[in-house]
Amino acid sequence: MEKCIEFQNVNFSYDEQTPALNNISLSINKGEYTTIIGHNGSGKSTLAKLVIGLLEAKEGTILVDTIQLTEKTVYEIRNKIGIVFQNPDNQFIGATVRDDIAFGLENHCVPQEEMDGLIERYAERVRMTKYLNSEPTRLSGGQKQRVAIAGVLAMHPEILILDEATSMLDPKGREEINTLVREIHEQNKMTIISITHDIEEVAKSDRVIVLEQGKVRMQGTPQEILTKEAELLSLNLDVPFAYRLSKELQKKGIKVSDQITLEGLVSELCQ
Amino acid sequence: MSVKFNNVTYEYSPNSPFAYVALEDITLKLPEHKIVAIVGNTGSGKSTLIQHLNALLKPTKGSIDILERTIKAEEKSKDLKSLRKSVGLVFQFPEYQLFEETIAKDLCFGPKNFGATEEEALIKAKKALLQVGLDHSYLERSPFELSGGQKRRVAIAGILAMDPEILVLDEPTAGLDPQGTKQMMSLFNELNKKHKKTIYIVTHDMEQVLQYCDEVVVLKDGKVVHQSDTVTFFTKRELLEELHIAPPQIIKAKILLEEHGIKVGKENSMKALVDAIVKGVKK
Amino acid sequence: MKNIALGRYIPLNTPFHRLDPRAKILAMFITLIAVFFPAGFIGYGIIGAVVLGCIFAAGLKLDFLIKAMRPMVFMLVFLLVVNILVIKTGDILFNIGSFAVHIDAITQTLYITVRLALMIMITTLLTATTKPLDLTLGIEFLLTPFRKVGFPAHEIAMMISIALRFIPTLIEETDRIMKAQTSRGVDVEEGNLKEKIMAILSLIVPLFVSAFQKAEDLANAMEARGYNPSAKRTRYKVLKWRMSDSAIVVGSLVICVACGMVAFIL
Repeated sequence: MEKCIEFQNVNFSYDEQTPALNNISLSINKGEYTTIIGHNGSGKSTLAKLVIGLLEAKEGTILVDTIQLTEKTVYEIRNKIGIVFQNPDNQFIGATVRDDIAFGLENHCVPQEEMDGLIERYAERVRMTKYLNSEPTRLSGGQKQRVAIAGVLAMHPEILILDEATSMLDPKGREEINTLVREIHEQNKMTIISITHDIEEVAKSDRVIVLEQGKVRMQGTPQEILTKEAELLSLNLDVPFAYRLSKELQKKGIKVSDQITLEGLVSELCQ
Repeated sequence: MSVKFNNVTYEYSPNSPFAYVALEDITLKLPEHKIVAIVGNTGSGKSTLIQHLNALLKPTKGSIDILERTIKAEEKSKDLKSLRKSVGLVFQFPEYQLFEETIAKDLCFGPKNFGATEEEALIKAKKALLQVGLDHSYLERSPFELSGGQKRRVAIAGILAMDPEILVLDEPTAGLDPQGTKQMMSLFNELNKKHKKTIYIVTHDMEQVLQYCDEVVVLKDGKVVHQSDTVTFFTKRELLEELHIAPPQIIKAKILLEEHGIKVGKENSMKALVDAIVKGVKK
Repeated sequence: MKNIALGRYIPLNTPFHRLDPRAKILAMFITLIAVFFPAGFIGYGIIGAVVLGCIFAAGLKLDFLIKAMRPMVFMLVFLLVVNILVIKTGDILFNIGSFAVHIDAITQTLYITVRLALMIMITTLLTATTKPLDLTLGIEFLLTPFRKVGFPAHEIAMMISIALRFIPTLIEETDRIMKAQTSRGVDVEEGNLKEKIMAILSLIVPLFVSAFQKAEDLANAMEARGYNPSAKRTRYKVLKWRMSDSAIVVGSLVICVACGMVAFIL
């Protein structure tokens, strides 16, 4: 597997006493859907901010597409990565949807004549064409996040990072974003890194990284990670409901493997 | 019955180009001593509804009975303070309402506004702090140096210190991690069971609704489209789908099993589920 | 709070709305200069007639204009009282008890009232017909020549447009915090001075905390999307200067010169 992001022994702290990231090493594979889980304060968001150079590591090396992140390469690296943050309101920069998508294009020196075409294309991609001239106060949280995704996609990044992008949305908004991201991942083969608390999303991803107190505690496929009940519980994290149900059924003598999604479990039971 | 909405309509900026009807002819009874979930998508009128509970907003039409009082449209209400003391309203992201230098001072702010003396307020503050699971060593600390989850607890304690009969919460677990969410929800559960508080909670999290709430009220486009006990609510599959509500895992399992011909009874427990599967598979 | 008319953009599609923002800003400044000439009520009559004509041509309603002017009423009442107390020239108009009200106090106040009203009308004409962002864009273009001497035209324009973008958000936030504190028993109307100060603090501190949080988030989002104020950027919005734009600037110049002449003759 080709690596697209690599952390080598990275240290970071906001204050002197407590390290936010403690000598962390990890890698993200190209084209995969990686989820990062852990408690608030475990260092998940710090990780995202370091990759795009919003924060600077105290020690260690960060590679994006084999390019080392330095002061000189930071703009080049930001071209490769798009990020959608948690708060829909605080990342809406333009006065309208159109202007907001244009903001990134302007920064990337896209010629003016090409902008309208790109804006319309990506607004359509996120199903926001109807709202192109709307102001942010007239949009729901989910719609604002879709605009943020359009703004990111218009810059053709290789990697899309979602930093708890659905945590402030209602169920409808959440469903919209999850579907959209999955589509983008499957159709464009884009590398997705999603920082999340949603165990169902984790179960459907390609790889999981578990952070705790600035360290990688576990990493692997969802099947490997989400079935390690004792370890997850020791980190105060939940095992999926489907897994607990599988275990209960096994106790009753029903032959079923350790499933992490209900869909998987039910289809195995009803074969 | 602690709260009763009688044909309540609420319109924002009436008679202006920005006029917008947020609640439309709502008639609703909310029970005492229970945990009631108020569910609905953005723009359904949830926030508007709960702001009527302590008269931050007054109905444009209709009236509301709250704890032996009646708030009527077009009638000036006197002494709203006593109502606001009895109905504690916790806004979304309440940590943003902290402002004092110390937690003790912030907790005393509410009680003092409602006429408590310095000493009385401090006693209430101490009690509230313990209720949210923080010990007295926090009293002299600044609220701004706490973690996000702790700040929220302190903010909620600020409302609890007013000793309200009804506690109304707008998405109290938004932005918390699963562990923080669990702690927060068990706090409300305890306040309800042990301290007999009536709790109305706006939430999107159906696992919370299933696990902690006795009743569910569903709002859509400013109208009440459903009200029932929690168990009945989760049997309304079409309604769940229509509202884009991701059902709790147990309900989702039931739906999936039923699609495959395995019938599960009304009970929502792991045991019921396992028994039904064992029975279904053996068939 | 959502009913503030002063400075509000009214989305319509009149010839006035379609003018280049640079032309409108220039014309506004020139007309404002005209207001400052001591051209007497004749001069103000000319300006008033032209501006009112433009206001109606731009599809703005009279009650909107009145709403926009409402904030100055308080100021004018204050001014009237001060003028009556201070100005002791001209004939005595009438007496309140032993206190004489002189005619100059009234004319002076009237004079200032007319000036203020004109200024509000002119600026309202600009802000109501120009999208805030176009306004910023216009300011940025007009200030660009000063970049050579180190004036941060782009940065200032960006600051203004972000401020404009966040005004509705901050108003919502203020409303929310106010309601949250009201729920905690804050009553701005009642209470002694100390309680009032506390009430204001309970609003301002959270508002600042939240605004700083927003600012940090926003800075992160902007940087993450490749924003670098010192780097070259392209522009999405381009401005087009038409004949009608030249016409309005020339028109305002004519008014300005006319008022200058009236002032000179007087």
